[in-house]
Amino acid sequence: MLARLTTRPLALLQMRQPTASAMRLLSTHQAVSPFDTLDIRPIQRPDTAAYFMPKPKYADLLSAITTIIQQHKLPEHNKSNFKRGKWIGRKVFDSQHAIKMNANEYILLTERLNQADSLRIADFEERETVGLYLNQFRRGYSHVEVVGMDGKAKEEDKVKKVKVNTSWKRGMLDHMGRWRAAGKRKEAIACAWLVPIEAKAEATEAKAEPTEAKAEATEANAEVTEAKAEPTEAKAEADSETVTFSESADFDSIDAPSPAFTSIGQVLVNGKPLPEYFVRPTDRESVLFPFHVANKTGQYNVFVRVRGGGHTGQAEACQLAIARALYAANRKQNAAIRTAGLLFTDGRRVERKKTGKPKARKSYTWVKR
Amino acid sequence: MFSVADRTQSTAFTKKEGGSSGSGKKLRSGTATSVNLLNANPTYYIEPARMQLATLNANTANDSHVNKFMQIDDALLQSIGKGHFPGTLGRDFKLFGRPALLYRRITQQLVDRLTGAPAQRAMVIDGKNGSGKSAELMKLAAVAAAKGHIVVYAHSTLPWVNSSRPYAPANEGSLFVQHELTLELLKSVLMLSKEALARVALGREVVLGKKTLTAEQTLADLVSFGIHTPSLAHDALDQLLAVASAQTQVPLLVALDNVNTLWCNTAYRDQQDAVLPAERLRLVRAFLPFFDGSRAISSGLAVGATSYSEVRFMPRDLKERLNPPPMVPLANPDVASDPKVTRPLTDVPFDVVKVDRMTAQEAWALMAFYHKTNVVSMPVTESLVAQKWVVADGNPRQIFGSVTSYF
Repeated sequence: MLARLTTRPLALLQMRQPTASAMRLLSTHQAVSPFDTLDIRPIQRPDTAAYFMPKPKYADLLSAITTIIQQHKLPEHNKSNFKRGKWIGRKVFDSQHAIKMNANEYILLTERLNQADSLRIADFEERETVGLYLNQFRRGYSHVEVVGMDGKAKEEDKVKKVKVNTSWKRGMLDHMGRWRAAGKRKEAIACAWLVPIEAKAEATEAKAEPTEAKAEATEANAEVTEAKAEPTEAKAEADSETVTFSESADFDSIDAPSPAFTSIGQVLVNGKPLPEYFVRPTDRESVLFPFHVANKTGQYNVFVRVRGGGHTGQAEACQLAIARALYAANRKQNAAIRTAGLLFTDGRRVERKKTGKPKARKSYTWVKR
Repeated sequence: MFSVADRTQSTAFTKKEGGSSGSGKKLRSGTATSVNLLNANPTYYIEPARMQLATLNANTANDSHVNKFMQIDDALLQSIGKGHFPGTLGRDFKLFGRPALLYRRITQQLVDRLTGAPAQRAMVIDGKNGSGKSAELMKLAAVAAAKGHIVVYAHSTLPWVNSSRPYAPANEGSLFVQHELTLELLKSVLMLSKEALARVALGREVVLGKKTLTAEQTLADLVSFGIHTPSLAHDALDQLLAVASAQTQVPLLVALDNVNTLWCNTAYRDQQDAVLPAERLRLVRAFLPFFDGSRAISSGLAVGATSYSEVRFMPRDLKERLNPPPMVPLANPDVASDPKVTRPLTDVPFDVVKVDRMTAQEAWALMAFYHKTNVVSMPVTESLVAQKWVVADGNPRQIFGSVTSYF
C-alpha cells in the first residue's frame, strides 16, 4: 500500500496519521480499503485552473491580459499603435519568464498586449499598475521583479520604470559616457562613438552669476527672490552637457561669435580626419548629414570605425551609425532625425546580372539581321 | 590691314583705362580687365564691400589684432612681384580684391619668436596642405620688413630646383650657378630692406671680381653692385649673408618658402647626365648652412616653410623626420639590443613649428571676412561655421574650397 501511494506526486499527497474512525476500524480487524483508512488529500492546490493545460503559464498570461482588457474600455483601433516589435520575442519569453509558445500563440499574445497597452484607464494608480505590469514584456526594459500574475503590482515589488537600452547597435550609452551605435550599408559596417563637447565657457559664466546674485540680494527683498531664482537657472545651464550653437544671424555681431563658441567637435574615421578619409565632398556631407538635420554640427566629437564595402557604402554606413547614436543621445531634441528617415537601413543592393544580358537591366544591341 | 602680329593680339578683353574718358561705374574685378557697369544688372555685378583693414606692420602685429584680417604691405607685394604669390594666395587675393590675411594665434607666436632672443637654430613651419604655412611666412616677412629688419624672403624656392630657370656650371668646383634667380633675389632684398641695408656697414674689405668694396660701404652698396653685375650676383649674395648674419646692429630674417627643396634632388642634370642634388646648386648652398645648424644668425631668425604640393621635391627622409610615426618603446630586450633593428630617425637640425587646424574663432573670422567680401552670401552663423569647419577639419584651404564649391 505504501508502494502504491508513493507513486503519486509527492507535492499533492502527504502521508497523514490515520483518523480516529480509521483506528477504530483497524482495531476491529475488519477488512477495509486502503483508501478508507488513510486521509489522502492534496494540501497544495494548483495556483490556477490552467495547471492541467498543456501550456499553463501561457494560458495564465493570456487570461490575465484579457482580464485587464475586459475591465477597461478599448479606444478606437489605431494601426500605428499595434506594433509587434515593441514587445520582447519568443526566445526572451522562454528565457526570462519560462513561457514557451509557438508563432501563432505569440501573434495572439502580442495582439492582446497591444490592446492592453492602448487601454484608456481613468484611474491613475490603476493605469500605472497596468503599465508596470506590461513593462516586463516590453522590449528595452529591464524588469527588476516579476509582477504578480493577477495583474496587480505589489507595492513592495514595484518595477522601476528604467529604460535601459541594451542594444549597442541601435544606440546606447556605454560605461564611458559615449553614445554608441552601428550602421550598415551594402557591404560596409560602421560603428560610431559620440562624445558631447563640454560647455566650459557656459560653466564659467554660470559660476560667475551666483556671486553677482548674492551681491544683489543684500539690496532689497524683491531682489533677493530674483537672485535666488538666478543661481538655479545658472545651475541648469551649467548642468547641460552639450554646447548649443545659435542659429540666428546678426550682421552687427558678425565680427564676434558668442563666448561659448570655443571648440568644434572633430570627426575621425578609422583614426583619420574626415576629409582625409573621405576625399569626395559628397561622402563627407553624407557622413555629417545627421548633424545637419539635428542642428548639432560640431557639438560632438565623433569616432567611427568602418570596414568593408566602398567609399559610398562606408560613408552611408557611418551616416546610419551616427544618426542612431545621435537619436539615442536625445530623442526629443533630435526627433528630426527620425522624421528625415535617417534611422532606417537602406536595404538596396547591387542587382544581379542576368543571363542573356550584359548587366542587370541593360540588353545587348538589337541587330535586325 | 592687320599683320600676323596683330592677329595674335587678343582683342576680346581690353583693359579700359580709367580717368575722365571713362563713363559709368567700373569694377576692378579679379582679372586684369575692368568691366563697365553702366548697363550692368546690379543683381549679378556687385561691388565688393569697401572695408577698412589695418595694414600688417610693427604696430599692428600684437595680441589685440589676433583673429582679424589685415592687409599686407605694398612693399612686400612689390618685392614678390605681380602674379608670384606663394601657393594659391594670388588667386585668393584677386577674389577678395585686396591682399589680406588672417592674423592668427600662430602668427603672434612667430612674431614673438622674431622679436625675442636670437635663436640658435633655424625654424621650419610644417603642416598639411592648405594649413597656411606660406601665408604665415609671408606675414612674418611683412612684419620683419616693417620693423626695419634685413629681410631675405624667397616666396618660392621651387624655381631653384625644377629646372625652369637657366643654370650653368661654376668656374671652379662642381657647383652650378643660377645668375638670373640670384639677381631676382637680390632685387627683392633691396626693394624690401633698402633702409635696413643702408644702416649696416660692411666692416671689412669685400672683393667681388675686379671690384673692391671698402669697409665703410654698406650692404646696400653690396647688393646694388650684385644687381648691376649679374655674373657676380652669387658672390654678392654670399657676402651679404655672411656680413648680415655676423652683425648684430640690424636683425636679419631669412625666410624661404618650399624649404624642403634644399635637401631634394633637383630636376637638373650635370655634365654626366646624373641627377643633380640641390646641394650642388650655389644658390641652395648659400642658405643651407642656416638650416643644417652650421651657421647661426647673431641677431635674427632663419625660417622656412615646407610644401607638399610638389611631392618630387619633398625628400622622403625629411618627410619621415618631420612626421615621425608613433614610437612605441621596444618591450623585448633582445629586439631592443639588436643592432640590425632600425627605427625611424626623428632628429632634425632645426626647430619644427606645426601649423595646426584653425580654432573656432579663427574659422568665424574667416567666414565673416568671406561674407563681407561677397565670397559667401549666406548669413554667417555659428552652425554654418561649425559645419564648414567639420567638413574641412579646420583646414583653411578646404574651408575655402567648400565655401566656393557649387554643390
